[in-house]
Amino acid sequence: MPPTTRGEPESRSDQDWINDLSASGPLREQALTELRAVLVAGLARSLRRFPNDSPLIQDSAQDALVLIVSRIQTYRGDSRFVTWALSIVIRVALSEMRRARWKDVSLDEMSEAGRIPPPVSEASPVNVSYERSQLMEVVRNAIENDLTPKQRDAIQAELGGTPPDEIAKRLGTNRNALYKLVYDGRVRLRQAILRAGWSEDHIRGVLNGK
Amino acid sequence: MSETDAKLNAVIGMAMSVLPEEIGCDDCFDYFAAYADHLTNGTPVPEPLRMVGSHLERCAFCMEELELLLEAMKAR
Ligand SMILES: [Zn+2]
Repeated sequence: MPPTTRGEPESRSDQDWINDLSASGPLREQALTELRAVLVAGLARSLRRFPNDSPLIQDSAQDALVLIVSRIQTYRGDSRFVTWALSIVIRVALSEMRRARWKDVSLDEMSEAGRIPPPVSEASPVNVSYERSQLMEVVRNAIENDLTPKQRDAIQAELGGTPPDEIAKRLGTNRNALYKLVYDGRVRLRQAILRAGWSEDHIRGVLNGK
Repeated sequence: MSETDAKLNAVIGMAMSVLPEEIGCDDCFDYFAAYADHLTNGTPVPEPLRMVGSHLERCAFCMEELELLLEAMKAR
């Protein structure tokens, strides 16, 4: 007859977690309770400014618990089960924090925050290197002319510090598709910069002020 | 460094660091836990997980997630 309870949570193996969370009855209930406690403790340690009983920690742990149980078949066993579970709760909590922080910001505002402004005047101040302002013009031109509007918004929003989940939401896409969109934009920018006659060494020299 | 200079450096960094083979944030997340275990145990990161390392160099958001995960793992 299989055991109906287990000992210390620390002694639970990865396979025990899978078995118990996939079981029914008291073993499953105990595993859920213990896993929830592990998620709350981990989250409270990494997000120190939130107390254990704060809604962010409690709700994230609960949401992650549901996700973990529903995705348990996707756990490949290439990490500790608890590490995998913690990675999910961290992502749930961070997504919620980022959502709350950015909820009232439009895509236009995100994009504007990362726009590189034109030079204030044509007269070049003595302390700005001529080459640096030339390079800036090449980059500004490339952003304006070589990117699609979506690529431009995504790249500028990222430059302005918007997290990818929030940019993806505004563009009606997911984080991986956004990465591909930005990747293609980066390739175009690179080509435009090289086409304008700038080598990687030359750029490095200018950026390092040499 | 002015804000404009910081943006210029960042966008040039984004453009010039393009590699032929890269993974995105979701693919990175699939290998996140295994990567974190290797870091915590001090065991060498196997070849397929190296892509996670190079993604983290470029993606401040996944890096933030990894740092929080490593901290959460210490709670045990
Ligand atoms: Zn990422």
